[in-house]
Amino acid sequence: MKKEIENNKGFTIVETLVAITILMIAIAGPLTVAFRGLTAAVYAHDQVTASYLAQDAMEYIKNVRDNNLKTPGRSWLDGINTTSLVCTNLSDNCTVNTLNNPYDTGGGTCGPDCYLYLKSDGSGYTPESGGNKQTQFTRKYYITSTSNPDEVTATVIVEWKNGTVSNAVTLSSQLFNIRK
Amino acid sequence: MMYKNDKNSKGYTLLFAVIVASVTLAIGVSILTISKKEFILSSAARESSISFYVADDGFECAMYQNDQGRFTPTTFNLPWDCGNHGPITYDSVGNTYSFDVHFSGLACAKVTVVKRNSQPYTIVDSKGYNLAWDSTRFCTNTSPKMTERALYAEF
Repeated sequence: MKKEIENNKGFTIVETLVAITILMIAIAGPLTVAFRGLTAAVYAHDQVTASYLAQDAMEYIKNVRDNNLKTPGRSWLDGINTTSLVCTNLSDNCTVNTLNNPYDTGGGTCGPDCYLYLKSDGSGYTPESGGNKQTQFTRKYYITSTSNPDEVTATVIVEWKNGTVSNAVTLSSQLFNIRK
Repeated sequence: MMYKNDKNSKGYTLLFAVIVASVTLAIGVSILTISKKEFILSSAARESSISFYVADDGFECAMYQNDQGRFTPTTFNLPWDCGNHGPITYDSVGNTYSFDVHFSGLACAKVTVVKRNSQPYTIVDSKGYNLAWDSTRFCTNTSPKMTERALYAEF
């Protein structure tokens, strides 16, 4: 009887360590899986936003081009890529403010980072910082020429960071000088 | 009697541990499954916009070439290009002119232009694909991740 009670006294240190190890593996594994899932969800969320921001800028550039073609005497790339606004490389730091009227305002240059800011009234994204909340997204565009003088390639790049990992959405489209 | 009861309740710790582990694993796996679907869905949004813009490029290319008087039996077969790569293939049957065009990356567009003698005089149909171009299969790849967006105009 005495021997039986002694056996039931409790765990030995080795048993305890083994139990803790098993429990840690059993908990840490699923938690890692859940954490990775949440990271992927954040990435998915950001990627949707970034691809629509890229589309937003591309539509704006196309609209500026369309207005130029409709206006007699205007160069077809006026406000997009001209001698006074050179936008042929990513390092030229060109961006568009899609909240402006594309007919009056084309593109412009931005600081080295070109962050987008969310308007304080929530009405949209703007490259202008004043009083607006900075987001993690940066947006730039550049124009590259092709073998045809009436055709250029417009590229919009939206970049953002998740912690230290850089992500980007790149959108390219051809612009043609179709003037009747 | 007391001893017997103690022995019976011993397995409870194991049962409890297994239940806790299973529940956490189930939660983790379900979050991962949902996130994976979100990830695929967000990629689809990006790929779809790539397809849309290549369809738009093919469409603008057709409009530009239409202004240049390209779509006639005598001018269509002369060398011409849209984008640095030029049309990959082009073909005309009667008054229907079709060509595949690739600009950059893996995206390409299949464009068909129909010229008519009555309204509508011109019909342009451009279908854009995100993953269809590579050096061996010109605009015919059938990847399960392929998206198609099309633009159609009559004038």
